[in-house]
Amino acid sequence: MNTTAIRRAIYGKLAGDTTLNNLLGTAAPGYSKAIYFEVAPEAARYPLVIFQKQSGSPTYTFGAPDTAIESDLWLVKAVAQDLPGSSGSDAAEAAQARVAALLNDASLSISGGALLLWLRREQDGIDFAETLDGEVYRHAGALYRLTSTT
Amino acid sequence: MSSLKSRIPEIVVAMEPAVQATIAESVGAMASEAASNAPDAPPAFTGLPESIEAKEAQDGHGIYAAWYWHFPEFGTVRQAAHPYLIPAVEHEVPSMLAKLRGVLGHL
Repeated sequence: MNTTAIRRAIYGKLAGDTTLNNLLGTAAPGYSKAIYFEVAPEAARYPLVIFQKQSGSPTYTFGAPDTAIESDLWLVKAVAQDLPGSSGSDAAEAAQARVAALLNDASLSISGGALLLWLRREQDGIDFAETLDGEVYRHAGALYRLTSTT
Repeated sequence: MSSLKSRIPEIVVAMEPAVQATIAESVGAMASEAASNAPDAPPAFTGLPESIEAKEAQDGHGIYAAWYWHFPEFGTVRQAAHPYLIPAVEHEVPSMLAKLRGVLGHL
């Protein structure tokens, strides 16, 4: 599978949604949306969305050197910072809910000829908090199964 | 002359231990692979690989690890994820299903 094409397709789906982007913070300098691949830059403002490929399983056809179908898990999570008097959980969960609405059973425009067979939320509840330099950050995410031809 | 006799009770008795043994073996393989791929960078993840183990609990076989296992698996605000657990499970599941089919087919 062309991970680059999939990554761009997922980004395009999320970045193109006004409702989701209204839930997110201002994009970091050099970025157009607060949606980042793998890790957010240090100057990122919260809430934001991070997505990444969590696992990939290729399926081959007999002796062909190339894969026929790939079944991958993508993690998409929202991260929000606690503010005085309010937990970041609400903001992270709201963004995560919008992501789920956008991606579950969605169609994707994948460049390069790969055909999306299905895209479905497979596991949610990837929710946790972390403390960094005295600030609390709330993560709310889910794993999406993305199966496609190569 | 032998009489017709149902093997269903015999199969039902044999099924659970055979299936449980196969699942235990596969979960053990998942835990081993996860441990070999887990980050071991001090100070944040010191001891993570050693903490990963397969155990049988009340609700079945599972993989257990140090409380901070999810930080490298899913990433933090400063660090990109280093997935080690889910890829190990994903890698082993087809093999486990094939073994279970074999076990059930030979009962």
